[in-house]
Amino acid sequence: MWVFIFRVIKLAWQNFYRNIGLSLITILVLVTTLISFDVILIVRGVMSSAISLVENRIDVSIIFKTNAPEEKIRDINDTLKNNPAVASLRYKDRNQVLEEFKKIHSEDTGIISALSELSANPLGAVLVVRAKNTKDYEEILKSIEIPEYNAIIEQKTFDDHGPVIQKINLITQKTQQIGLILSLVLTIVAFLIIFNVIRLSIIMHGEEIEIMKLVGASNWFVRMPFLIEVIFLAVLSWIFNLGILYGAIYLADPYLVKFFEGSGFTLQGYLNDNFLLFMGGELLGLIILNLLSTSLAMRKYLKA
Amino acid sequence: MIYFKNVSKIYPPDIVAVKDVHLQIEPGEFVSIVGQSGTGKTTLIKMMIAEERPTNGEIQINGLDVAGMHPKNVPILRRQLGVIFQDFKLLEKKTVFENVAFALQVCGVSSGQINKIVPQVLEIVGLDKKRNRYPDQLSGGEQQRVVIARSLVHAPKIIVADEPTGNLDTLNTNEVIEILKRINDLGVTVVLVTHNREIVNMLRRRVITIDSGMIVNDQAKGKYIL
Repeated sequence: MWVFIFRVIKLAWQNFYRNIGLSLITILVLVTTLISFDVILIVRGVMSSAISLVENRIDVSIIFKTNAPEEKIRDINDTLKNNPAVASLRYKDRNQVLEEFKKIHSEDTGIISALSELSANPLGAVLVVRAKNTKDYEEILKSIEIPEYNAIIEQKTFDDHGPVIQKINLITQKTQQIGLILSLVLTIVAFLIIFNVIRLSIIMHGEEIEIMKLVGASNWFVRMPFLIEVIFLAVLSWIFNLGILYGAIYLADPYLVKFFEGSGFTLQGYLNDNFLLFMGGELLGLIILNLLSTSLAMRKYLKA
Repeated sequence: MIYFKNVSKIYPPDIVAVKDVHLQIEPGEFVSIVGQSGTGKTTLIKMMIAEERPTNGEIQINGLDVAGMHPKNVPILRRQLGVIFQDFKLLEKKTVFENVAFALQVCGVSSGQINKIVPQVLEIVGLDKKRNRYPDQLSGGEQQRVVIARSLVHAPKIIVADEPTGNLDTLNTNEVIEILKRINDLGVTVVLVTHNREIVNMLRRRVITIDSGMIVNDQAKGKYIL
């Protein structure tokens, strides 16, 4: 058994380096296919980070009337706190709101002097709501849509943000759909490319396989070196692809860091976090595809 | 022993390559199968090594039922034979040593044994100094000697040679025939397919003549009569 294993590995290695031209061409095609997959993965990652960055900047403010009783506001706060769709709540009392207003308009002397002429604070308290998902804002606001609460609410800024939020939802949905379709198309194209490259490589070995059979080699003795060789090819292609990918990320990350300022998103971090899923998946998929293509392509030559 | 009983081979739709052949070759014989091109000689050899299956009839080689053999048992049959082809059929990406060693590797012989046996066989065919060369670095005669070494190395009881001198000049032809005679002297059955009149007449061994797929003559010490 060990003699067989050692022998087929040695034959696979000989096949690989004595047909180095063919091996390198096969690796080139496999690497190109893997790079296309990487591009899809990166685009999806960047898009979803960009969307979540925008989503994180969206919130809805509930502005209360100046005479709204504190306990009613607390009731609304508690209702929202118990809503699982709410990510965070921030309450700003009337004084805080006034201070912020003054700060924002500090250079507008007209507004500042008008405020100082008023005897009382004209601004009501504000409850800033942030949802876990932009789709949930409508639902969250509906949960406090009762006459008792409506009586103390001056305004909800959702009416201003609504179209933006809907647009973001639409973009997210479309991006995911396009990503999925592209991934599917690419998977099919990759399968066809890899299958045909491996098939061509086996066809070029066709005569050799027939000779091996004539000399008395069993099907497994003929098949195993080729199967091991395509595993070599898959692993080498994967390593080359990894080098190219991380090289490209090294160059691209400084620009992306600027774009995603404050979010902490980097491509390297994104890939490292998903390494097992993305890169492990690519390696496993490539090995399985190579083995399958080789077995199918060899069937013709292995019929006694 | 090689035994053919009423063997026919018909290729679709109705091309008769071999017709009702009855043949028995005893261990240690040197038999030449002669006939013009396209008379069914190669089909006969292909059926011996189970590369083709007969349409009708029975074939037995060393007690193995070749006609009804399961495909997975074909390698077992081929490991008992040594086959020499006109077009050499060498593995181009393997050295002389590796080509010869391959026939032992498929039989599961250990590397130690291979390293001992292969140089001895290469010495017999006079290629021990060219063991690391690739087939395309050898002359036609040398390539055919590698094929002979490969067919001999696993000590088969039968050697089947299909036009082994077809691509060789007179000098190399004589060398190859001399080697086959020496192998036969060691008790190995040799089946030689040829249409080379001089070789057959020089050998003065059993000659089976085939015409239109049928055996038309079988002489113990025959001559090329077509």
